[in-house]
Amino acid sequence: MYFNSLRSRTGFCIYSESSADLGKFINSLRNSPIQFYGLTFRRDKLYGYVRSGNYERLERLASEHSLICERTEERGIYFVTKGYHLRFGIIAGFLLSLIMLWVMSDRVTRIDIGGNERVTEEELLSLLRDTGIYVGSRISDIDLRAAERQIVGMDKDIAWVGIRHTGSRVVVEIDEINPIPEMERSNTPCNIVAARDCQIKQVRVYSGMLIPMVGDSVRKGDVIISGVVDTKFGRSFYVHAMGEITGVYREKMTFSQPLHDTERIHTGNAVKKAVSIFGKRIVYHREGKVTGEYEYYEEEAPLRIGKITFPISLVTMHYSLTEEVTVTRTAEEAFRLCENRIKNYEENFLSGDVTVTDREIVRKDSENAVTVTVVFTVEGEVGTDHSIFAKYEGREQPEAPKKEAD
Amino acid sequence: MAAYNGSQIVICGNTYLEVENCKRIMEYNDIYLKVRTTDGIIAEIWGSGLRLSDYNTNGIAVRGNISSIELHGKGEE
Repeated sequence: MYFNSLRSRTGFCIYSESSADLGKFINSLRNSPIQFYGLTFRRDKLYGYVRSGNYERLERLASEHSLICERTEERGIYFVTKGYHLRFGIIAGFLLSLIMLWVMSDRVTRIDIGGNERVTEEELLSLLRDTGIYVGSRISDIDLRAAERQIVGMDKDIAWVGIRHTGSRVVVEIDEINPIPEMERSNTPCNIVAARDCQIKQVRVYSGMLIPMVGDSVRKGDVIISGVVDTKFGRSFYVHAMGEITGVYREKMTFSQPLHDTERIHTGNAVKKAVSIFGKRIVYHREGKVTGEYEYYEEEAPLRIGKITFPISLVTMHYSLTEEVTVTRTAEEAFRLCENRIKNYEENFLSGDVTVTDREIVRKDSENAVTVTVVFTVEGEVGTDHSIFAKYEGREQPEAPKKEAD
Repeated sequence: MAAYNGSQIVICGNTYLEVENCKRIMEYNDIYLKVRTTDGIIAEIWGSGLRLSDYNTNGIAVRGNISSIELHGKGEE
């Protein structure tokens, strides 16, 4: 470009009222240090541009030749900004953006985590925070290699950590320790024994020798498929007994619901809204008062422009206020609650590979509570491996509380 | 390299012309420009909308629609 649009220049118009010679003036102008551009004649007037700093010299030169010099226009960054020099908002905004640029260029604005499966992002973020890496921390203060060593030392599930930063984004790559898989040794001699007292309903033997018949009753610990197999020649050898044993057994559960009970009830809601800047929260709106105990959850909406996420977000904090009250119920209400609990128990503990074929419900009302005893008739797998040569010490498995085999 | 003190005229298409070592502008308006160079050559440039710029010491640049250029040697004027 012939003209640098940023440089300031002033347009001029030179003419004569007394028929002075413009030709002489042009040659004087050429011989002077004043640079001019776009000199043109229009209606006996000479138009052109000079640098703004040369305009006064041009005026002097024109007056020496008895010519009139007029300023026609002013262009360039100086004249554009001159009109805004009293707009303090623009100046403040410009300075603020410069400060923000300076601050943001040395702050962590985003942490990306990759390679984790078992270790959650929250755990990793907490570990990173302990090493001084969090959204808002100064990048120049972070010792990435030391942080890597610290994190590997702090979590036994992490085998390797690689931390790097690209601009204000910190990328954390981890490699988890793979647990040694539990080896199922299929060649160890073992029996299949009854895991509980039951009646055998169906048997599939893949390996070993079946001891009781279908329809027989067995007690917990009785051998159902033996790993000691006798041959017709009077010899015995050991095998890894395999098979599927389906048995029918009964399971007794007792559910009790007091008629007078203390419960936590919902009393109201409260909401707080805050602006989070580098993790620091500034609350700007409150709705309701947060007192006593409450359940809490929050929603965070980070500021995003395109694919860039800024460390500024709007946080809405929801408080569900609760209060402990004494509730009095009728026997029928208490019984319905017990029924719900029975239903939940069945869904959670007696579903999947077992089937409830029957249930006997016995209700007992007392002065303070309703007690419901349920006897479930359950059909399911009852066999469990029991190694022949292993040493069993105090091997009775602890029973679940309130759970009784009938 | 020794500096060349003679006149040098560069023409770019019919819209731009540079005259190096221009000594004096003898006549100038928007359709006609007459200049004398340091070695005495007189260049007459005809056209329309001629605009003049002083792009360096002793050099001028002419922009506009240039229709003809005439050169006259010493004493031909």
